[in-house]
Amino acid sequence: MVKNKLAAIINLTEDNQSLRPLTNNRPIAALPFAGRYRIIDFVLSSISYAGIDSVALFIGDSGRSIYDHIRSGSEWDLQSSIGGGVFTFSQQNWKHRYRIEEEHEDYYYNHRIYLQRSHSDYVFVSGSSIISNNNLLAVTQQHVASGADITMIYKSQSAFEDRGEEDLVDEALILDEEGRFKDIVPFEEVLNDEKIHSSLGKYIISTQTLLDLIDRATAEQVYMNINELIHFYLMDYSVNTYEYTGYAANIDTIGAYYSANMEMLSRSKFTSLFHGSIPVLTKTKHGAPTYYDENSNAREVIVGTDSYIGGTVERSVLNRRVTVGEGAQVSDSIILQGTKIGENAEIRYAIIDKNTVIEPGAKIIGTPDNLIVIGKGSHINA
Amino acid sequence: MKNEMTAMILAGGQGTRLGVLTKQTAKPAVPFGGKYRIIDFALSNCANSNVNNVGVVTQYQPLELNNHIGKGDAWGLNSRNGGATILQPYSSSDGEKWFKGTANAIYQNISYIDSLSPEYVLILSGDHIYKMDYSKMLDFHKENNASLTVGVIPVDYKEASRFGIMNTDQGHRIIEFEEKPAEPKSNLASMGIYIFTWPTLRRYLVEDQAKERKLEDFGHDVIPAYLANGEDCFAYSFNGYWKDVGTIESLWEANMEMIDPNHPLNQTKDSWRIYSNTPISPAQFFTETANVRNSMVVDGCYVAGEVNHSILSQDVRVGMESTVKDSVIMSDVTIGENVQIEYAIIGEGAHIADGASVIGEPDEIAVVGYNETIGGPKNDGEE
Repeated sequence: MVKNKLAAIINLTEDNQSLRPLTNNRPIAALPFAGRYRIIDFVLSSISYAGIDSVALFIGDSGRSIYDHIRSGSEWDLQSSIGGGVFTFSQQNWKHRYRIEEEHEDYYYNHRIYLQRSHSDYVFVSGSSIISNNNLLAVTQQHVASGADITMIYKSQSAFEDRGEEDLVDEALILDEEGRFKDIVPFEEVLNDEKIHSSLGKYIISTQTLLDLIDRATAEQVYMNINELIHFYLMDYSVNTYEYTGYAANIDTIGAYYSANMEMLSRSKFTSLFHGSIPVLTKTKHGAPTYYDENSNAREVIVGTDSYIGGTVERSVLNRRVTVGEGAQVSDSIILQGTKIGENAEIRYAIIDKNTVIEPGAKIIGTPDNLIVIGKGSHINA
Repeated sequence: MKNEMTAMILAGGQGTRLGVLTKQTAKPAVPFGGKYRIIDFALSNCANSNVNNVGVVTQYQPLELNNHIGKGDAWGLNSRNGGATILQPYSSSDGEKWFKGTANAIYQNISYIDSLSPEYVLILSGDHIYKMDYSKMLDFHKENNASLTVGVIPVDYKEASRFGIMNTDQGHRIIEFEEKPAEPKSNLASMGIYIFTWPTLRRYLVEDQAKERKLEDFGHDVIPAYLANGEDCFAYSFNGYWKDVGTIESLWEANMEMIDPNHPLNQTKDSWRIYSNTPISPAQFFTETANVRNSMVVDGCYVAGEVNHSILSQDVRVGMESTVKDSVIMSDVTIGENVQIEYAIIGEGAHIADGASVIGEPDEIAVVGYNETIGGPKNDGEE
């Protein structure tokens, strides 16, 4: 038996209203990122690296885009025919909306079944909107050594860092001088602190503690997502903290989605996220190499494979299978896969969702304060 | 499901004419076109033609091929009734099964083919670059009730004496086969692609083994024996792009041809994809000093310099003020700053240190071997 066997529960039901229209038909976890990944790839890669072979996904709606991406889970080594696998529980939002008394009894039924069958000592619990690349083996090791009930992963930022206004979450951790957890408070209370410690909403907890917590919630009729539930009861347990020092971003608004993609154009942030010890894995696509035309001009860009670049592209992130026609100009924008940009078209400060067709000569001009978002499969005329 | 046709890819060629590139790698495993290996073309053609059982016959440097092909998952060959199988020589109670030639390699693997009991066997070479629908060739074979169909391609008459030439009648029946004729009567060159009706070929190979043991090579021995015995042999004409990449120059040239976005193989449509087994890398990253034109670039590349009419394979780094022209850079190559590369093939994992240069000529391509280091402190004072 593997020592300290780990299971994982990922909750994909974050509120995605402020990411519409990008989230009209997909959860935040399925949003494309950095030219070829989906946001869920980061948490799945952390899970894979830790040798976790079984993961439960609690999905808000139908989950089609998630199933299509993850399939058997083989890219993350989750396809094991012995015990492991990807276990999906969809329509969680529906369950939330229709709070019928008698159904409450089994609100945590699937969580319990999953935990009992995983035969693991510890569980990694996470949401899906925060991008980070965590070494869960190290976190678990430290959790076991601490003897605490719950270990919470956090990231420290100095209050005046350039991205200070984009807080990772609404609440901050208060730590004592030795870095021990004292309290969790609303962000406003720590705004003037030299350092702000944000929870990444990611925890390591023993399976037994989590089951106890679920029992308590059932008795007290507290019904919420499992990561929120841990947070809800946090102060009643002994809490250990683990500082994550790599890149992190919380994709909760269009602005946050845009700036996290743009931050990847910084070589140090890109390297921190992609070239650390944990490889970021995603679904393989058999695309041809990207072709750069003799008149192309691509600078400060991230580009996926199978694209054709005939025009000028600057300070932008282009996903797979994007066509940029000759004479077209794309700057400060995110172009998602399969989009075709016609000749001499102009795109600035925009997010163009999948499979959009932009006619030759068409213009989509936003500003840093007013990003233009074009929904999936649109057709933009000149 | 019935297994109508089984493919056997002959991937044994040591490819000595590719010099350092095949010193430790079988020729079919040599990287090509930025994200492929040469054998990916034959394997993808099989998968796309619905030929789901593929035996890969190899004997030199099998490790890399084994790693690359595995069970054929990357080509979608991993079904219950299909799969890729690597077939290597082994020693058995009746002696060592080292392959003496193409036909002998098939003879040695009769038990593998028998286990699938196909009606037809498709014999392919693992070192050609092309896209071809073998199911159409099989239709042609069945329509003619043939016992052998040879894939042929029209070549320039002045080139024809380099190939095995098929002379046919008006009904595509092969009436004569000449290996590298001085004065070719036709320009239909054998592509080394054969469909055999299996029971017939099996009988030939087994009977020969019991008696003369002369049928070692398909072109040299089997086709002449078939013709001499009046077997129904037909030539199936292929008119697409087909290239033998057996030399450094032809390998470089075929890579350069792939750069053209209108090249018949460099398609972006889904209907006939070339699949490969590649690790996952992040998307391409170009800095503000990058200048990439008329080139193909793959995942994981970092470019701060100038790239013109070249191929950058996976995880290639090109430093500032460096220039890469008319070259093929294989995966995991690091090119430092102020480096000049022209008319070159840079092998996987090579390191070109700051200030170094690798300059070839159109008719004499410079080659840097796998994991070789060029320039750097080690070479200081050598000039």
